Amino acid sequence: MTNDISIATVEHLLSLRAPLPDPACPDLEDLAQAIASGMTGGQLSRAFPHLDGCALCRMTAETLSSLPQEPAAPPDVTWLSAARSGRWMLPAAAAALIAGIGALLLWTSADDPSQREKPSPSLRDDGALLPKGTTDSLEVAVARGPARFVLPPFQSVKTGDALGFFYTSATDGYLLIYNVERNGTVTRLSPLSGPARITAGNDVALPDGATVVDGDGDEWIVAAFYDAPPRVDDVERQLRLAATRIKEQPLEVQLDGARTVRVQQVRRTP
Amino acid sequence: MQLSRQTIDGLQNGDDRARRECWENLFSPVYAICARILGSGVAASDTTADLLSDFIFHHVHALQNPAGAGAYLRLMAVRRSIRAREHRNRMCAFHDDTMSTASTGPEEAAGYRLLQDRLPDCLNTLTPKARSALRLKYTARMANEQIGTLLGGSKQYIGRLLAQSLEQLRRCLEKGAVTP
Repeated sequence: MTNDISIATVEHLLSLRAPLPDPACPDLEDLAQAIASGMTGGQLSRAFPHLDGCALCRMTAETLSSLPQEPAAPPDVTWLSAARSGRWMLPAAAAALIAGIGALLLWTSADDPSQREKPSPSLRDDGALLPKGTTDSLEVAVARGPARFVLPPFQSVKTGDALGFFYTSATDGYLLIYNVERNGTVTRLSPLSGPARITAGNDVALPDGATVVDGDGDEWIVAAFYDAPPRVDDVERQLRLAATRIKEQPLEVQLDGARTVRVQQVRRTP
Repeated sequence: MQLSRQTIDGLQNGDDRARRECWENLFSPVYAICARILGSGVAASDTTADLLSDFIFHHVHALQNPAGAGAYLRLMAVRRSIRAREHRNRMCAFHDDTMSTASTGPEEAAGYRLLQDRLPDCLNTLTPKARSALRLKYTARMANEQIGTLLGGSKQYIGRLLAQSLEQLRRCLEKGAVTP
């Protein structure tokens, strides 16, 4: 045995990872439609007798029925870079985490509206619900061990906390999210790659997340919403400038061309 | 997860822009479903790439209900992820069995198996785009130009991406592996 591996060997190994053949089952499109329309259990069995004899189809139907109707992960999750250096780190499992937190957010708002102040909703042209009067907002969700919660302003985040971001916007546009530290360090949290484009929606999960690493003190999460594609260099320059003005007062940010700027102060504790 | 009638028409007509748009818009929601079942990582991104390339190049031509394409893809993402999970579990059990008697087996086979075991970890060190490119190249057997259509980039760019990724994998495998 040697420690030399050829490219041909690597190619061969990759070619061995062939996809599994999919058993031919009837009516999969119809089954998908039936589940999407809310049909479950006995109704499905009656409409699709094939389910009784096919464990894979049955398990698929059960699993699919248990998934949230809208997947929480948004478009660019696949283009996350594997890791980021610096004080904020991107977890490899950001997508799964955000999906989990997304479910939590929906559950929380449905069950206990008093926990999250929401304007009354209105209907958009395509029928989607939008909060009346709301322009743009951002919420930070935290996964700390088994706990999942929306981060209130001025609350602490701890080393190891995983953060996810959710925006609500009545109109399409562009969104940049930054972490600004008291020492003037500006770190972009979203987008890490890919476009900053967002579409109108409520509590839409962003693909990027962050894990809190060692540190302490006050920091600010800045979300800047734009109608037109922003010049990232300019935005970061303005944020660095704003960061140099931080004394004891909270960060105050004005960004050229931004239609809305939301700032949330957080405190990092070990 | 929705596809407009225009995109479906484009896919059925073999339009490259529709293919790219479909891949770009659907990869993440499909991946999110796969990752719920398989966990984030290589298995989920492989399953996503397989499903989408199948859909874009094959199934879309046999689509009975274009308006239900999104629901169909959700169902197939779940179905294929369940299959992949079961296969993975079976392979783990098989490996546990065979590894215990590896000393009696041919040296070459044992070496390959070690490399295969290590490969997912090495693939995880690549960017998702590189992983998708490798998947489309070596399992879907697509040409670099076709891969570029889906992932974005010229065939030369995809060629460079693949070459760099293979080299990165080779080095990663060499770090802790013994070869046949």
